[in-house]
Amino acid sequence: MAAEVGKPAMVVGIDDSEHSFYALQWTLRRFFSVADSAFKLVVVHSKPSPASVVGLAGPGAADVLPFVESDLKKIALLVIEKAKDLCSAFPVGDIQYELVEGDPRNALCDAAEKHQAEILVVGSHGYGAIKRVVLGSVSDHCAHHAQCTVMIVKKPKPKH
Amino acid sequence: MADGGGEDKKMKVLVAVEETEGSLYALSWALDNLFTSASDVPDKTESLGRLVLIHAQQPLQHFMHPVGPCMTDPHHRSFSVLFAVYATSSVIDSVRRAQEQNSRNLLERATQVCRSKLVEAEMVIVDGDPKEMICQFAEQMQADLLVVGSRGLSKIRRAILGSVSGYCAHHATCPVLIVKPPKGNHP
Repeated sequence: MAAEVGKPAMVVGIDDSEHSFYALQWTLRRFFSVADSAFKLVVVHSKPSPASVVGLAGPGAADVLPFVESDLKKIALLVIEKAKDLCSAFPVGDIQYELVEGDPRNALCDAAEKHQAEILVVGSHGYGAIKRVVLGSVSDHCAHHAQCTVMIVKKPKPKH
Repeated sequence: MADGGGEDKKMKVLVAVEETEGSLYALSWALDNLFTSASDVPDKTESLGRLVLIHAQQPLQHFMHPVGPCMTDPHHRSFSVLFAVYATSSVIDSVRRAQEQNSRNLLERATQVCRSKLVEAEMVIVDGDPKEMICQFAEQMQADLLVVGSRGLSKIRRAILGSVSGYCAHHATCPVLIVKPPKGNHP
């Protein structure tokens, strides 16, 4: 029953923040530190579209977009490279890297569905000055809308 | 990094058990997916670490008042009367006993689920508001992972997070695993 082919997928969503690399590392340590893990790993990065980043409606917008686009592409490739580096330290058998475009909120939920993921893992930015860590909007959205189990990994605050 | 891989994998997992279907499903999902390392070991817990089941009991109200239609007196001005009944200690006792019995039954069921998957679990019952108590306990025991069901009512779309899971997702300091109910007949 637990053949190589039929391993459930664990989709990890990353962006270029510390928090999501921490989440990826945590997941690798906990679930992929032995060679025969129960899951196959799919690392997904969603590159936001330049229009959503710029958000300008003025006449200059059209000129700025190409630069923003190439910047975003560079960042996206760096993110994937860094993810590959992190994963190479672990004996992960089955691993896929995906670069998609669009709003990370929907893109991650879609990727989870596409791969029939058993778990969707996201980091959490923890924006907010409130005494407890507050969920970032992407992790919050995924927690609500993903069809599968969602794991939210937070970078612990330094206690001292 | 990869050396002592077994040690790294040892996790302290806290599973919140409530009286909802979603919660017991979350427990068995966690057992299936987190305890997969050793297949034929009689006690899989060793390979994973610790599994703690926590159930929070709501604090009892010390008085109960019936909520119902207002009493109106046609002859005088209409007025509403709200009866506040102060429960006698014997009533409180029996309610508390019933509540404890409830909790024990629930945890019994949960333990059976664990045993059927060859995992030994520790059980904790706390008093108080479930969401706060669960997060506090997770911090106290330095849990590596907190597992919660998403919502009790499966008829409502999975888009809605229950109050406990939502609160834990926001406030727990450790990673949180939110288990959604199975896909079922969803097309």
